Amino acid sequence: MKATRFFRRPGLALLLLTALAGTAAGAEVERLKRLSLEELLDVPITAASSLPERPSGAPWNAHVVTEETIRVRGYATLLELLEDLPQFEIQHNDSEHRRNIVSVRGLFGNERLLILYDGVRVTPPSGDVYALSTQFSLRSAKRVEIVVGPMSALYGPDAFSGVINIVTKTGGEIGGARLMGGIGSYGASDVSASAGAPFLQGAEFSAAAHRYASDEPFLPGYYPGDFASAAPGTARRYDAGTGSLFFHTRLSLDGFEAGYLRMNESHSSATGVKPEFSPYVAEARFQTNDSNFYAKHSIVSDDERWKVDSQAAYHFYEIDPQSRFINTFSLFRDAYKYAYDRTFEFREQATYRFADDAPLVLGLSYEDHASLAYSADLDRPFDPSQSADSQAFLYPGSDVVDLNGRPLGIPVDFHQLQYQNLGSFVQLGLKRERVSVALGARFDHNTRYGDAVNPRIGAVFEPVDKLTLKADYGEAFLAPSPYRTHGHFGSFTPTTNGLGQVTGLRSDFFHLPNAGLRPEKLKEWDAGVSYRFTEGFWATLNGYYAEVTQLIQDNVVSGAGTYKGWPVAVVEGAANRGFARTYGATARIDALALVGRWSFKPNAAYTYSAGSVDGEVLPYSAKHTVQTGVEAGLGRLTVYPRLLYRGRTYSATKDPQGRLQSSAPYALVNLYARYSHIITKPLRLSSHLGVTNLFDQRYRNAAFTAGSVGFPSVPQDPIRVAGGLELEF
Amino acid sequence: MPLSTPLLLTAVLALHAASAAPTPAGEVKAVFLFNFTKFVEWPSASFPAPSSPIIIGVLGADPFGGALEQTVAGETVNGRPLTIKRFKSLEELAPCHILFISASQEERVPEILRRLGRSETLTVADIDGFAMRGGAIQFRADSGRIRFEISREAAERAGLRVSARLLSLASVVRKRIP
Repeated sequence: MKATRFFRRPGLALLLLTALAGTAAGAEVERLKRLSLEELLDVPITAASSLPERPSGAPWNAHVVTEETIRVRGYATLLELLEDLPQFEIQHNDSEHRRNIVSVRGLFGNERLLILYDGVRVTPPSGDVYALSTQFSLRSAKRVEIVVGPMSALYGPDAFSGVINIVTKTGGEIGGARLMGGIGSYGASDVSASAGAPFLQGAEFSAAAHRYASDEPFLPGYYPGDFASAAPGTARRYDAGTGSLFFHTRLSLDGFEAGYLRMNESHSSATGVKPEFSPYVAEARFQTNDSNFYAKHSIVSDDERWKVDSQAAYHFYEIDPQSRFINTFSLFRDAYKYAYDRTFEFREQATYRFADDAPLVLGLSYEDHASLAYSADLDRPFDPSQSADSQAFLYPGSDVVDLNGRPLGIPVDFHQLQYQNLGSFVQLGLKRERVSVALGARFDHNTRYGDAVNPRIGAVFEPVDKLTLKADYGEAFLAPSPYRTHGHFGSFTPTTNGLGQVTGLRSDFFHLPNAGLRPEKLKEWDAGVSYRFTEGFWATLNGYYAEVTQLIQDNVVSGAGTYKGWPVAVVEGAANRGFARTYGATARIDALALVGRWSFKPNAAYTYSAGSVDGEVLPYSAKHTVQTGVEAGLGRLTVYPRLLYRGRTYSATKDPQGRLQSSAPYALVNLYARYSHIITKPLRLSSHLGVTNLFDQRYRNAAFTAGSVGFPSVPQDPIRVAGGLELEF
Repeated sequence: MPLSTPLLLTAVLALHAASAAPTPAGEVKAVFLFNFTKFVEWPSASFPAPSSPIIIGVLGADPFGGALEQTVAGETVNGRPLTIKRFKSLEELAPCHILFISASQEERVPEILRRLGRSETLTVADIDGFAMRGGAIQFRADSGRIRFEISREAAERAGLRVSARLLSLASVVRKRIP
């Protein structure tokens, strides 16, 4: 994309700078070898030596998924991993914009989840809409850290439902190259490559790329009743292909690191919609492009008491200009979309350790946003190289001349926003014997929606060996994105007199901007207990209760109205209307057993989730969920069968009789098998095979698209088989 | 925001990084691993021949970069050369005298230790609680220096003798081995 070219030259400049910085210190190891053991113990070490702080030791509800687990379970992308996590639920193939929608502890919305790679955010900094799909690659991941619950006290806006940090391998940790290639049912191809190595003294370079593409199953063949009707002229056409691209490169030298991370995702813009209202044709695509360029640096004092982390990042997000809808709202004409956000972010964080387990963290962050909000329907692709106003777009259907020869065309409003966010935060950790406490707060000043203060406090207590108790309370806020405040769409129709002459315009429907939206606010209580019965068997129980006020609802209908002076039959928009309450609990057991040459690692989790939104049952969250699986290993062979059961899941949409729509309970079995190192010389060759929906069931997820336009419940994929090879050298 | 601003910041950070020159922890740990071969005694039966090498294995993601190879290059201990072997996963593991278990394998530590059983392997890691959980030596960072803890029981259980000098420099962990 354009942003890539934008940074080509700066990237070279960085490479040069870092190469210059790599001083020839090859004699360092020889010097160390000449030291006595006592002298060696006195050698000061760099920040990289600090043992990584793991969220598992934090008072928050957290998970750490290691590279080994990713490999054995066959998680190629974050989406697959989240499916296995308690208190996460995915509605697949559900939304035109987001494709798949995640709910965390009963609150749905991809925009409520903050995703980072190596501490750098990759979800749109503006909070704009994005698909949770195959673009979040795990092929170069060392581990994935997931903190469930509000983390605005540290990360600010968007860290509402949780924070996911994907930690990737450095060049030295890759130490060679890894190629993976696979094919699967429905024309799927999955190719990735990563390579890295140390070079000079103390410098490391790595690069990783992952491309996924699939034609996706021909659902009309599996769910003929749902696809019995077709939009005019589109009978027997079905193209719902998906694709994604991930690229990440990083260069590090001691405490300095620079990197570039790019993601593209594309899917059908008819996703989740009945074919008679939005045909599944190849042209109807929705694509987002993300580019992130960052530089980080850490300085540590000699005694390692002080540490200062600096991070500068530039994020570019856009809805690809070729993205378009072809649906009943656009009268089946091409309706192109565009939006972008350019954010420069600077973050400075100082950590002072009073003692090894008592860190004080002080931080400042600054973001400068330039956004073009989600456009109205456009009759041709937006040209990002020109200003919006110079492109003379007219609202659909308004490009007519009335009976007096007066052109009625209405220029499209483009909402360009410039805003800043200044945040400051403080966090203190204390540990005494068997008790540790962490407390913190963050203040944000945003030039669009004002000030916000969010505290968080948590404690861990280990009354006896093997028993751990956790409790925490946190608050968070979700800043309304430009997509929600200024996104608008709809079309006009000419009105005529008895002679068929145009007399004016009218509209059946318009979704209008609401610049006055306020942030959603969350308060959440969380408690948990875990007990390790033996080294090979442990259990955890975690419960939560949360309240959300000023909940933003996207489709609040205000009845008839006017827009641009013409009557509109149905006007809707986003509004702070909702109050949500969620509560639930997860009981989980994990075990490890060795039987002969076999090793088994079974896990099982039951999650209860309940709550309400404005008095209605909680949508997009099954009341009962069971997730269980067992990692079995025999020599080089590992097998991971897993079972997912979800109870009835409700939508936020209603049928014509006013009843909430829902999807029926289902149980799904998936299987992943891997045979490592079929050969080891001259390179390592491994193979894998994955099967999802092993018993080829027909099942559905809860519908997202409102009204009678979307499926009442969304048909899901039949059995999928995918296999491939992996080369390491 | 003009592009020059992040570029300028980046350049400043790069130059700042160039001026800082503390020692990477991986290099210090690599030299410690080498030193362990001098202060730990393996049963002679663990070597097929008098000139068989001392094998240092690294299981999981390698945190040393090339420092380990640089450290042992051309070295001998008690007439034995040193060899580095890397294992991406437990399934690939082959016998070695020292096994460094990477943090990427943290979740599998119990399984790794059980799989090693009483084999004559000195296990080393920088994983929290490693020595308490049955590992022999655990690195940790303290006040900007590398420290290590030794579980004498774990070493003895593997049939290894740890010199008094090494023990005197370590925090000695006592943990009942199951």
